[in-house]
Amino acid sequence: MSATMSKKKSSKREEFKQEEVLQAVVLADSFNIRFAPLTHSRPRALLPLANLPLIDYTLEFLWVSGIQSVIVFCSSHADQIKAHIEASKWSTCTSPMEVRTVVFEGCVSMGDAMREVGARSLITNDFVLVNADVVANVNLASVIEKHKMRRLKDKNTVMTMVFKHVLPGQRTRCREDDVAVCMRKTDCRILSYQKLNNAQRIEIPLAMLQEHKDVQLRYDLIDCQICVCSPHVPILFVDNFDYQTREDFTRGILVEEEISGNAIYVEVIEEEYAARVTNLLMYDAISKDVMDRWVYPVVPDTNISNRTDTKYTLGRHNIYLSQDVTLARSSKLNQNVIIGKGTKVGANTHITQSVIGSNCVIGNDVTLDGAYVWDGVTIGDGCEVTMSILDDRVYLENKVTIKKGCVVGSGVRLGPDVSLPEATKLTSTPPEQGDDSFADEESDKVPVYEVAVADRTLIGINGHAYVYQPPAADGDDEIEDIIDDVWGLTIESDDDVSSSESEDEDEVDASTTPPPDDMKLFYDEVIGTLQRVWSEKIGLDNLIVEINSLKHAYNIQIQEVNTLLTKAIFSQPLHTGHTQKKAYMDKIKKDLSKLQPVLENYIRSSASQTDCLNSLEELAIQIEPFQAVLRDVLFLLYDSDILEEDVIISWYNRLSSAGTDVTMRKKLRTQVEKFITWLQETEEESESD
Amino acid sequence: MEFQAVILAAGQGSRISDLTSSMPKALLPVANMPMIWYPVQMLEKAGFQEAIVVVLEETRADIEKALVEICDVKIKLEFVTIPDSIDWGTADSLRHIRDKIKTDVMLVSCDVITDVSLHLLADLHRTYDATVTMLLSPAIDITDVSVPGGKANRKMERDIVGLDSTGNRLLFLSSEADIEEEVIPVKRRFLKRHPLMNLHTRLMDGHLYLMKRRVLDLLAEESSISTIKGELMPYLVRKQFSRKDNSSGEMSKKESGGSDEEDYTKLALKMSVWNGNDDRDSDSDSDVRCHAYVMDGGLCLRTNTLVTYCEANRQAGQLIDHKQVHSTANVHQKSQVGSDSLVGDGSTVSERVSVKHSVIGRHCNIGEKCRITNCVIMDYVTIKEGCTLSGCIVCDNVSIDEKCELKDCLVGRSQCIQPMSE
Repeated sequence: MSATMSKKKSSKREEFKQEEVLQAVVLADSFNIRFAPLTHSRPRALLPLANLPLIDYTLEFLWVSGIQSVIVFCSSHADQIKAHIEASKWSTCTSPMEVRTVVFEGCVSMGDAMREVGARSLITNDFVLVNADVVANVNLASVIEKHKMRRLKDKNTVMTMVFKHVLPGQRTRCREDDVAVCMRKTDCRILSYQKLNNAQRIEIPLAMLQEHKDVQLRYDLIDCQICVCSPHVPILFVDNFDYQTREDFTRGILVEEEISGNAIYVEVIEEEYAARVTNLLMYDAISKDVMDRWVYPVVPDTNISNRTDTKYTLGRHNIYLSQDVTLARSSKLNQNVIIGKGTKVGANTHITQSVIGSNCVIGNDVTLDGAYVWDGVTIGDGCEVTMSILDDRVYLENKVTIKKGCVVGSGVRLGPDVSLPEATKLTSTPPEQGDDSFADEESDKVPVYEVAVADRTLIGINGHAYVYQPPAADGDDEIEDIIDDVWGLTIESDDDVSSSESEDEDEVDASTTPPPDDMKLFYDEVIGTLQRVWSEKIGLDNLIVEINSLKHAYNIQIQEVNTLLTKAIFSQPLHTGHTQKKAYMDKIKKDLSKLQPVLENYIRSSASQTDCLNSLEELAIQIEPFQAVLRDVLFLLYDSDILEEDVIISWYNRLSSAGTDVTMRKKLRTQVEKFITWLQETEEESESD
Repeated sequence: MEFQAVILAAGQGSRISDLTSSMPKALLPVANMPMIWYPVQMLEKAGFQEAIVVVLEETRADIEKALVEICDVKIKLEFVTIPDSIDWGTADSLRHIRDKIKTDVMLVSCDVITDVSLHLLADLHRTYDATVTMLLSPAIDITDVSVPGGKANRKMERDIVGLDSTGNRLLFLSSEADIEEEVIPVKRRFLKRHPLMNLHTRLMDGHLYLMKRRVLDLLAEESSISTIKGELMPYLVRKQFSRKDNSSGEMSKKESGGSDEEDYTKLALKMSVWNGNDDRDSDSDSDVRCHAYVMDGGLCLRTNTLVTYCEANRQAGQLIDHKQVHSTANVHQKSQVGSDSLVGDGSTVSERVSVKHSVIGRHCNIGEKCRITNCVIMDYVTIKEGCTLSGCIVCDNVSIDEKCELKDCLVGRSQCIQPMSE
């Protein structure tokens, strides 16, 4: 009797054990503004790709991988995501997968989100971590299984990252995620993870090769940011509050590998498809891949979201048509076109490689090539759209030309008879009202708008639009990346050209290549020190001592010190928002009244004065607002006896025609011309005296 | 004739100076055969009819005598001498004999002992039309081998070898010591072309190369290169990735492909998912191709240090087809000679002697009750009764008196060891 009892008990326990559900955490917030201004009114997770919101692809992929419970983590536009999920097939009573939304306002990074996940103890088992912008057809079941096996063997297995084999040069490999990975060949353990960004080379530490027998260096992978994580990943994030991104995490784990013994492994997928819509380039690439059926069965005609309005039939040459589509007899759909429900296409209209949303009206004689037209858009007769995104309810009057890389925000009206230059971004919301409603994916950074908007020559007489300007560069790496990836313009245009120039000779030319790391570090430190002058009121003597010690620490030449110090002092007010001419001058005068002894300490000889001038010139070339104040700054420096007239005049006269940005330099010189003539006059006067 | 064989035997043997002070390196006995016999025999087996042997002026007569008279090699050998006085590197030697080379070269160092099938190497060389093909083998683990002279200088000179995914294209080659600042820089351009590279630290250069004739021309131009392994090979490997305008004119290749083909390629590119720049002809900018054949099992040894010399003596026996105990040797019935040991001709092994993992040379005399383990005993050595030797190298003409006990020793030529020494 008792025997059967215990048997029952044990079987019950087994049952209990088996109830371990496979969990996934979906981060439905990208924590950046790559898709601005599109993401002002909705989160990235809900941006349509091939007429389906991105999150639908991600959830479908998780379901295919056998995930039973999904936690969708949202921060900005949480209500929209919630509503979307409630209306989706995952919320029906027959849904095979449980999808929950967790809202945490004020998350600014992936690290915050993971810390929150850790704090709320939402996770008990190994789980899958993905962003809500993954498009994939891979079945993770085997990857998860392998991860669990590894964790049985080695408790310190924290993560298995999924990489997709993509050779350099393929379109889903964008420069932003240019990553080179070193891994142990035998068990795929990651040894180093380096992003190239703009670097022309990576470095493999010798010690790594000595320690591990067979190291494999791979540059043919893209990081899909699909991770199978152990339950202590959130805890690691909690412990290391400085981890902001997954990259920080990876780097941290690899650096501390010897101490903590934590290990990250790689799983490479060869056949299947996986990629993240991280920026416009990837949006374009993945849309094309979906239409080209690389992601099969995730294609429009399989209707993964099970909604009636997203049913498509597939025709030849990958033409996908929804219901109630009206095509004029003379219209021509070339390869790879998706047309949504209720859309009308006029006569003589040619459409290639494009996605058209539902309820759009496309006029006669329109050419669409690589256009992503979302819902409810009206395109007038004779328009031409190339490689651009038109958000919901955009209205193009007749004969509007939109060139490559444009993003037209929802509700914008353009035309008639205008041409939008390449890579223009427009929004329909004026800047004044913008400040609050735009605190979307980036709650701490409010986009800065160009003040002069609504230029009639740009948007046409009936136009209604404002030019969107991304936040000013603040030296952040992230921002530099965005600049790299101006969609439609710089697809791999640079790269080999520049690299072959600097190949073999070690890059010596400092003006064309980014300064070496030490210089950057030094510069950052100087900025930090200068800031502390105000915040902590450290003495100027100490400041000089500190700069000198930094100079030695980073092995910086005195010439560079002059240049960087000048740059640091004069770019400071720009970063603190004093971009207007008057505000800038007031601020810099105030700064200089305090910092003048420091500047005098370094800028003494005519050589150092030349350094100072060159630095100002570079600054003016790099940062536009500074151009306007250059003349006043020069006068200020002259007036406070830091720069001498001879040096200024000789700088003015020395314009090397061979250097870069010659036109820019010339322009700068014309701007300061008045000051120079004044200088020369006063000099002559004093001579005649 | 596709390849001309060249054996480099002019090495000083500077890493085993203890042994080479009295004898040219090429003639050091390995399993009772002069070292140089192994590469010669390998070439002979592979069907070579003739070979050029580069030797030092002073050693020429000895080497010639040893090979032709004692070892009785069939292959026709042409001896080229280089002056004794100057210390020439291997590349210098090669440059020296440039005029004699009319075809591609099979270059082998005299200290290589291997049973690799040369045709595999040659096939690879032909398949890829390689500029250079080299032999690589898994390095033997030498850390637990006992060596005469203690554990000093045990540091291994390791190479870092980068191979592509096929495992036979050589992408990177440098010795560990040559790497500056403890990091290996890898350029983006390189990564693009070869997105997968396996880096090995446990592969050993087999010092066996197949080279195109034009490498010699290149060598003549680059007079600063003096060694093959240290300078020429890394230079060639790097040259694979330098741009065309750097390479010499005669190395340039005709551009192929008509305009029709170009058009189609462009069309195909436009339609594919590929958006990279036009580096489709990945080798277009340099036509230097370095390949490597990695041995999978088999024997490959370089006898250039004491450790490897001992190891070679232990392992080379399997390459020799003659009997363990030479027919003219006299081994007492009550003695034990291990199956991995050799006894040379005319040697006498007395009663109750045990020989394990050892090589005993010619005309040696081993007294009663000796125990010899892990030793290399050269010719005309007399060991009196009751000695125990382990891990030793005993050179020619040594006599060791009664009841000596030697462990991990190196006994120089014609020494006499007193009785009862330890």
